[in-house]
Amino acid sequence: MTDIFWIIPLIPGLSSLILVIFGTKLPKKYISIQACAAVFASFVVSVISFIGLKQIPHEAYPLIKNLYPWIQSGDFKAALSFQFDPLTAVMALVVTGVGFIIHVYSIGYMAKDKSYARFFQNMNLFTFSMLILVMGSNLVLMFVGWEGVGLCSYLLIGFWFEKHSAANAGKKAFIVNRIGDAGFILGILFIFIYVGSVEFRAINEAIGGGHITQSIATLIALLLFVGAVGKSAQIPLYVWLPDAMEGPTPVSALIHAATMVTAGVYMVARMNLLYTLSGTAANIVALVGAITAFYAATMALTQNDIKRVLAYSTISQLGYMFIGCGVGAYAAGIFHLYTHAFFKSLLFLSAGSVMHALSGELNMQKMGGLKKYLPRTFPVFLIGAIAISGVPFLSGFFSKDAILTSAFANGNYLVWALGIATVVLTAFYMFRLIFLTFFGQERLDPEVKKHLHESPPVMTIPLQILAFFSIVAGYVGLPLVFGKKLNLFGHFLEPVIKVSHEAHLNLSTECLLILFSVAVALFGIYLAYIFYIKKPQTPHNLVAKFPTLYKLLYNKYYVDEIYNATIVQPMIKGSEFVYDNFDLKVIDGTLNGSAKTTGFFGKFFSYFQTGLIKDYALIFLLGVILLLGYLLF
Amino acid sequence: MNSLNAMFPLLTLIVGALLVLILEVSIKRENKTYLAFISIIFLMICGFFCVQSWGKDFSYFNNHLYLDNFALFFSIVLIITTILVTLISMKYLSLQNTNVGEYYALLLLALSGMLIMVSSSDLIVIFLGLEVLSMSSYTLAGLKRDDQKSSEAALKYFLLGSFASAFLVYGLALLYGVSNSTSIAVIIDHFKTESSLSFMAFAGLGLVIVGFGFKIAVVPFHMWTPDVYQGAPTPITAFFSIGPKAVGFAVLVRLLYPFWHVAYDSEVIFSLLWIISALTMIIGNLIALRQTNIKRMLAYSSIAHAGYLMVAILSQDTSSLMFYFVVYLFMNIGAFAAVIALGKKDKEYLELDDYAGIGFKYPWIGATFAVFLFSLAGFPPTGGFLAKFYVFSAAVREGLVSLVIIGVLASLVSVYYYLRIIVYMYMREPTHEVDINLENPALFLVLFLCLYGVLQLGIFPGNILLIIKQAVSSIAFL
Repeated sequence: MTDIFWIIPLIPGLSSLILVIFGTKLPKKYISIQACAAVFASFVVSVISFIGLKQIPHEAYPLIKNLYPWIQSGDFKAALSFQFDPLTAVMALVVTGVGFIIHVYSIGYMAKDKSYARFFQNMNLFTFSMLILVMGSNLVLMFVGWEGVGLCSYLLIGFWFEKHSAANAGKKAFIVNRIGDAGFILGILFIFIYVGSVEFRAINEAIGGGHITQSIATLIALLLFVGAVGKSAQIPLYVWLPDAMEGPTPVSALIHAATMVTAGVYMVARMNLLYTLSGTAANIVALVGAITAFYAATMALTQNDIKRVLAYSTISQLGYMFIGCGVGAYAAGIFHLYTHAFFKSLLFLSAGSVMHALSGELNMQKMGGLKKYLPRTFPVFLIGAIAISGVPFLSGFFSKDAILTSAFANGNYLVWALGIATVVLTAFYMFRLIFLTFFGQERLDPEVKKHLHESPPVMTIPLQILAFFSIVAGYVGLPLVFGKKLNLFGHFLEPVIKVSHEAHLNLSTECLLILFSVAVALFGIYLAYIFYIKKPQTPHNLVAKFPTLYKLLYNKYYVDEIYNATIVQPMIKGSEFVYDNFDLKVIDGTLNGSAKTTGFFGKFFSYFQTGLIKDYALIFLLGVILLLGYLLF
Repeated sequence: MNSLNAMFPLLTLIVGALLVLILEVSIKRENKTYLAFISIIFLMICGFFCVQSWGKDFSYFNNHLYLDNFALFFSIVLIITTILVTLISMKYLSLQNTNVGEYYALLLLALSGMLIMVSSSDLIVIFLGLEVLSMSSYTLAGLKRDDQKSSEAALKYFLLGSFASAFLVYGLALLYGVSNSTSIAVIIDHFKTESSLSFMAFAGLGLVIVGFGFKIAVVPFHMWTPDVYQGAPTPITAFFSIGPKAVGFAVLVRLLYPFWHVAYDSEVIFSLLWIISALTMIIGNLIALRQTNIKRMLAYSSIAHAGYLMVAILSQDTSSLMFYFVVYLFMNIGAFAAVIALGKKDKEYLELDDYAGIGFKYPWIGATFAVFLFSLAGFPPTGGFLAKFYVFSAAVREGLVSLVIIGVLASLVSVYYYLRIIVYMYMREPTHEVDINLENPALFLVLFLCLYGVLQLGIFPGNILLIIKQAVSSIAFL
């Protein structure tokens, strides 16, 4: 049964194709059933393949299905072939499982949208591309998926393209990602030059066999990481993700929280041998992750837009994942990716449910006291917030803890300290969000309040399922303090990710670290409680006291403005100059000139086509004479 | 292997043609379409025999008829062509008031002539086949008796065709005079025994090239093409653009490939064909730019394609030539089928203006036509791209860089006139009402098959390339 895994990506692909062709003619009900069923079918096949995978010996990993020799040009070969191993299994299960829940939620959320078919067609296409990304057995196919998800992200951010800001946000995401992709392509090319193949197996063999020197490994690893920085929204290419919140909320949940943005983390984990070989690159990955985690969390503190807070939080959490990968704890990074998928999509969808209730209101300053109006949304939102804050016994606690412990164990104290600082900030901004939204005074617009209503079951039931997983998902990867054999998750990934190089702490140190991070998280929550419930004037007093700092944070360090002045404007000026002087004059001039010349010759030659048979025969005869003359003399 | 089996494909066609002719007398005018079905059945039987003989090397008449895989490959290509042409003719004939049974019989006879040509390597037998083909072709071109253009086409084709045949026969006579044989193998062997080619041998070869140059319509023997293509019934034009060209090139392959291996003097012939190829690509594409009649434009386009095929001859890469033909078959018949689709009772829409807005009024016809035009222009992922790519890359491997540059530039020019139709179909407001008869299932079947063929060959060409490899490896130079 394991050899059917290759149909996992094809099902949503086929469904998307059907919706592209017939979408506008099909009834909404059918569209939603087909789109959800396709993802669900993929999920079922993923589960079957996952079970099958556990039954075969590790030596047989990865399973490969070669469908078609896609590109063959000289030495360069890239096959349309899929692979299935533990890492792929985790990713496929997350993508299809969480994806399915979000698809179902979208039925309710998008019910009144006029482009219903287009939405589901793009969502299915996204699922297809994401599965190609995680299942491709070579870098080139992975890149196809990588670009495919980028395209779908663009299409879905700009889903409401009549809105100027949405169209611009889509464009921004696409262009910023291109910068990263340029690095990624260069990385692939260098791998081909030095390894001679783009298949993951061959790359791993080459690294294992010592055919790659450390400096080349550093070069390639950093180039690939540039791609990951773009896709996973790390410093300095994170600017597109907050703007991407212009898309429909299910899109933010699926693409910009649970799956696509984690592609960079997946890629680094997939190439773990390369990053392990190059210590420099791994350190840079960890450092970029740590700085991003902290930096993004500070920006989340002052935002009033509920989705933007979550967006910065996503950037920050992705930073954690890179910390994990950078300090060699790839399994922990992927573990956080997996738990994050549940609680972050839960948070986004709950935020969507709040927006749905408030006729699209996003500003938290205009909410407050919603607890009693949204009895089903509130508890799940709270669970999500607790899970992300790192409160013990919910999923986020286990995964975040695994990363921080590894960072400490590896002696990366700076990274660890930034991580711990981020824990405080995370707990604080998440509970700021909870308190501002659900507690305190009602600050609703009267018009909005009239339409206030809890979301339908098709939206709340997916939320409850996600909430359930946000609580229990962490128990598959318990830390060492609870027992040696209990990290099932890490154990499962072992065939892909070698754990030998991870340093281990003694139990008491690990216990202390865990207790410390728990204390820090609780402190963050307590701080938020003081700020927004007990003494609601505190924030205002602080703002009055540190106006510059507040302004800096509120305006997101002016990074967008800086990019605009230093990169975007010079680029526009430069291209205008080239357009005016080179394009219009040189290129168009040459083109028009050559078109005129060819047109003239065409006219000249058709002059001989008189239609008279004697002329034809004459030219024929002339041809014969010339030909014989040429041959004979 | 000497066996009567070698005769089966030919016999099937001839029996089919005779049967159609006999039945034609007793079938009412409005029921003539049944004859098309009968002829398709015979074509399929004929195809079946060809497939059955694959790899068996049947021969008969003292090897004058020799079914090697190369011959069978071209036979099958031609049979498919004829089937598709028969399908697109069915409705067309009754709409254009040309519904006569002889039409199908003549098609079968023309095909039998072509089958003789591709399966023989004796120049006299080839000439025999050529005449069988030509006689049927002249008649087919003039079958729209009440249409002046059609009669003009038939007469022009006949006069110039006889002119060309005369040169061909003269060339054959000279070659016979040199070598005492009409068999290609013996002639070439004789060349090998001499230290340099004689005056007579050169003249003979030159005139044979003239004769076949007429059939494949290369410059300067192409003048008849636009007039005949424009005047002939449209399905017949489609047939002309593929059938005679395919056999012409098949014969050239049989004649020239062993000749290249005669070390001396072959470079003169080579440089001659180089010039012809370059001229054909340039002039065909340049004149096509100025055409506003679709059939005339496709006529010049087919001249240009003959130029690209000459490149394949020069680079001695038979497999790219054969692949090109398979692709060309689907894209060209597809394009003509789309042109035929735009017609109604006693009216065909052939001017560029008629195509304005068609893409929105008849989206399926417009879209498929656009795909065929993209393929003719050589855009990926269609078969046309791969076909051109294989031909040109083989030529570069053989060092024909300057010819390839000419070819690529010429096909750049061709993009203009192919895409102009698409621009009209999708970006121009219609100037007048164009309404067409859509009850034409056979035609839509052909459109679909050709679309499938063009895309299949463009994306998954592997299987066909494999068959071509088998065919090339077995060319018998007797």
